[in-house]
Amino acid sequence: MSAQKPPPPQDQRPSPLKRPRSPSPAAEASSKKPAPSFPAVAQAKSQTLKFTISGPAARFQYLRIRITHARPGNATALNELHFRSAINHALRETFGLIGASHHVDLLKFDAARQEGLVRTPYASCPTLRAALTLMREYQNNELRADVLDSSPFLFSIAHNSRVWKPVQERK
Amino acid sequence: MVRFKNRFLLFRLHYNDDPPAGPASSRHAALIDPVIHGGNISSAVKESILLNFGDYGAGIAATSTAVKYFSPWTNTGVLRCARDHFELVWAALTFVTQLKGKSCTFRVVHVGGTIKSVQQETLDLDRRLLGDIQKLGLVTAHQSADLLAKAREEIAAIDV
Repeated sequence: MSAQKPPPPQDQRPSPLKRPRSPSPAAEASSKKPAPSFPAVAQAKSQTLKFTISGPAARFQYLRIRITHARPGNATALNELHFRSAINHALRETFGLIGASHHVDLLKFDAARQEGLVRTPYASCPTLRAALTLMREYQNNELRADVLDSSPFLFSIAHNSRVWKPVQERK
Repeated sequence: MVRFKNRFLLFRLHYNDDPPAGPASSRHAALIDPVIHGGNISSAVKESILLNFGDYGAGIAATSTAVKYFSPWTNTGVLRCARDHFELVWAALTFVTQLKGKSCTFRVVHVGGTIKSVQQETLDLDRRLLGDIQKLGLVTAHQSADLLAKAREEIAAIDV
């Protein structure tokens, strides 16, 4: 049995306050050591960049509208004239004669898909969309209108990246 | 507490049909139709709102629109409507062109936000027009006084 050194008497042990401790950050800061140098990129503060693109006010809003019938068939399918008349009917029902006076031009119509490309002044777009949303029948046939696309730029309606595929992939 | 703000439109009704030839009194008499009452005008205005402004207009304005006073002798009346859409109601009133088969025009002569202001204007207008009718000899002084008293009573009874 090895002889262990007896602990020093209580009054001779070093005070807990004076025992060496791990260095604190405050102590390090005041220790006059040079701060570690970080690379310049990491030191830059994050910034929020804001870009504003402005141009002349849009004159027209272009909408691609599709009409879906409750009972699809040749009897209920609309031609160009009836498609435009259905839009007029929707405006008149919801907003009256004043609402029906909003300019709406049918630029293109696909009878097979019952889709039309419509142009309206930019300020009339909310009125037209509200009327189309509330349309539920035309000439006693139940139907609904969906706005597939809406943009003040006609070019952006030409193609949709979700639908369009490059020529190579199509083959 | 949300307070409902109103607008009171004081209007005059003018008939457009050519009055029959003759003295001024008979011409004026042809333009007085005691059968017309406020309910006729109220339903005409609501139909006009529905026709010209659709379901949207009827939803926001028609329920708060009511004729509070109408005198078929002076063809003046007071229409109450909500403050937010009083211009829509004013336009619909202007678009009313026929009343009980007769071609007519409505003209708004005063717009007030409080009952008191419109009551005073209505009373002044009715007093002046009843005086004109009396001068034309359509009513006697006694009848004119009775009509004025009746008008004063009905105007004082205008309520929100």
